[in-house]
Amino acid sequence: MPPDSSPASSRLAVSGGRDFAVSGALKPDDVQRLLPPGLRAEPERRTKLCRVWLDTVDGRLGKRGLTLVRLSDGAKRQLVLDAEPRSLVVATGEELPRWAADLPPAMAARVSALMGLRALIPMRTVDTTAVVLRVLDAEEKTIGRVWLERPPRGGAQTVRVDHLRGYERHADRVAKALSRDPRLSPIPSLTAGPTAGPRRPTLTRDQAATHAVGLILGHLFDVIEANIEGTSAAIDTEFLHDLRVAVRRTRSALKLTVDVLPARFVARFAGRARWLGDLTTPARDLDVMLLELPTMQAALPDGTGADLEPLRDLLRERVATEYAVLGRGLHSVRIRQFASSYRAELAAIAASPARAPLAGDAADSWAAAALQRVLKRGARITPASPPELLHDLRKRCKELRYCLELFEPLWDARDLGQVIDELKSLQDNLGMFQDSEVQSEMLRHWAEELATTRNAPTATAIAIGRLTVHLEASQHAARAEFAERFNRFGRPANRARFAALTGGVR
Amino acid sequence: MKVIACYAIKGGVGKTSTAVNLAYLAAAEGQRTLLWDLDPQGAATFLFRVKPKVRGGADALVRRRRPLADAVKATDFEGLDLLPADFSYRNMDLSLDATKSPTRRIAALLKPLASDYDVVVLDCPPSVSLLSESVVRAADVIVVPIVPSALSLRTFDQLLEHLIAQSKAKPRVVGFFSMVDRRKRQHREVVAALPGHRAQVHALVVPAATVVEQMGLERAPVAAFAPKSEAARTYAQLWSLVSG
Ligand SMILES: Nc1ncnc2c1ncn2[C@@H]1O[C@H](COP(=O)(O)OP(=O)(O)OP(=O)(O)O)[C@@H](O)[C@H]1O
Ligand SMILES: [Mg+2]
Repeated sequence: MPPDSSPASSRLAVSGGRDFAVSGALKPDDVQRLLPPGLRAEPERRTKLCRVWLDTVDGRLGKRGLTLVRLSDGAKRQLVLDAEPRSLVVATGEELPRWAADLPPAMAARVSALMGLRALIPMRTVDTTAVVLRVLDAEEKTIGRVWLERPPRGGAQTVRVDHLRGYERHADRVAKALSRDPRLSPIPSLTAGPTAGPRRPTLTRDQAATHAVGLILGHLFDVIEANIEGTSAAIDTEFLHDLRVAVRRTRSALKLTVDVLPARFVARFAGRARWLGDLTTPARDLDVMLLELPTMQAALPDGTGADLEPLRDLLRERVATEYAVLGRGLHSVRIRQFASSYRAELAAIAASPARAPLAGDAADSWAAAALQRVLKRGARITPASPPELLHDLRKRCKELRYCLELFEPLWDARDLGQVIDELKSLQDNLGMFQDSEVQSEMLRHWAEELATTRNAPTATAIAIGRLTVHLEASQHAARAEFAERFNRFGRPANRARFAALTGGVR
Repeated sequence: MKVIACYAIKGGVGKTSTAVNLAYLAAAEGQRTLLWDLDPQGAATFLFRVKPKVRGGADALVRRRRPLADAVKATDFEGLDLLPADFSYRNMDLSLDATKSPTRRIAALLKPLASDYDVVVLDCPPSVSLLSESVVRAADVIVVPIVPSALSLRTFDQLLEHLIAQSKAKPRVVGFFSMVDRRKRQHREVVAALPGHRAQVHALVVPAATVVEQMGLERAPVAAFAPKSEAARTYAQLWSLVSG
């Protein structure tokens, strides 16, 4: 550290100051002129500032009133988490934090639960040049700082009066004095709003079902497109997850509502939607394995969790490859053609004349039919049934769930909530049953890979073996519990609830 | 939060000058820094133009009638705050003595500030006291200015003994030379010999220089107004030693 560099700003951008927008320009001399008697403004330094607002793509921090900014002042960098009851400021390095774990512990403690699996991304970057003035009292003591900031390529000037600890009242006096200038108007401290995700369409029971379905499909495609960039850039695993959910919902919707859509349209796009889903499967499977790995490691006997490290290395390598393949697929000509023809057809559907049935009636009967399929197939399952029957039932449950969620605005929110909770409990059981099987198949596959392509230690094979035993046990447990869960779901009271929701349609 | 105490049993050896410069250099590096003036004479307080007036006196802080954070004042330097002292600090030992565990008190008082500051520098009054024990318990590093004399080695050993006597505290000790006059043979000899005798003593020399005395006039650390001076450069070396 060279001794002649100037001190860092630790207070800049911290709450407990006043911000103003300036119409025109405020000069250091103007500040001096506006100050109350006995106070003097003196230029301290000039600097280039850069603020980068960070948040998850869906604005999880902003929604909770938290603002995270990486501030560069010359060569110095700080992270500022503006939060109640007070802000945290910590010196930081060149690299922008991406995960909660990259943040200083005090900040991580505030945000990691909110962030979940999401990464921080730069939401907004603002460069300014600043003239820093210190405000001195009659005894030459610095009692406040005034920042005159301006974006380098024009744009409105802003003024900030900073609080200094122990001298807050003085700074407030300064702020008040400056605010007398008609060019200044107070503004809240700058915050970066979340990038709003695609807005859900407004649905009503008495619009044409075809139109409602068209709007839903359009919205789902918005979601798909909104997640393509984040997926290709592998920002976090939630982009791909959200993309896949939207694809699956699209496929379900096409199947479920086939009677109100042009047959040619469904024939054409059901296959493309499946193709898109399949394209994303290898990368997602690897994501899931990697996300599950810590849980798996914790399930192993003390100290042997580390035996899975060779597996992690292999998965990481493969996931990078799969994401590269996926990125190319998501930017292919095929996707662009899919998008443009799909959008055009959806526009045609929107423009088509309104015809029966109405959305409310159609949704009732689709939900009822989906429920009947679940009840019928579930009733066929006995303890001797092959696993495939349970997997198939899981699919039918998903279809029912998607149906309820896609047309959600058409039903009573309370009733719907209860119905979905009942369904969830059955889905959890079926999910446990199938996921245990899928995971143990995958583990076997990766164990083989490890054995044939690299010299993984025996300990790794043993650890994987142990895990598959665990998984088989959970699968058994799920199977043993199935009958009870299904009977609960199918009990008369729950059927009645469904019937009430869908207006008696059965 | 790293706690650095500038301490010596002897008075007038350059503790305050050192504390002020180290605190400034820490802040200049971007660390959020607090300097706690623990000396009733308030030399550091004066230097930073802060009024030597502590509401409720030191007793209110030590007995927790008032949180430490409440008494903090910003200095003229960005990132550097000060806890000022006033004359009430002369009764610090009495206040400490009235608490349950006096020797752990300073550390306990600083704890709530851990999320506000990266570095705390303690400027201690000379002498052995309850306060100095409590400071030693709170400190991660003890910085000891040594003015060369025939008794340097003995004085330094006394200090080490005082530190060792407090079994629980294991702060790192960093000794260096202060107010060195190279025209004096004895100064030259001590500076050459002492680091060989005691591993804690480093061959860093702050010369006796008017530029250091000028801090009182400039009301600023030498590192701020004369960064190229030998004294400032030594303080910078000392800072990198202490912060490393
Ligand atoms: N390197 C130096 N060269 C010249 N004068 C110095 C030097 N270091 C300190 N002084 C001066 O010596 C006096 C005592 O220094 P300082 O206050 O730093 O010592 P101290 O150990 O804190 O003293 P006290 O024990 O009274 O608190 C001050 O007037 C200071 O300006
Ligand atoms: Mg002193």
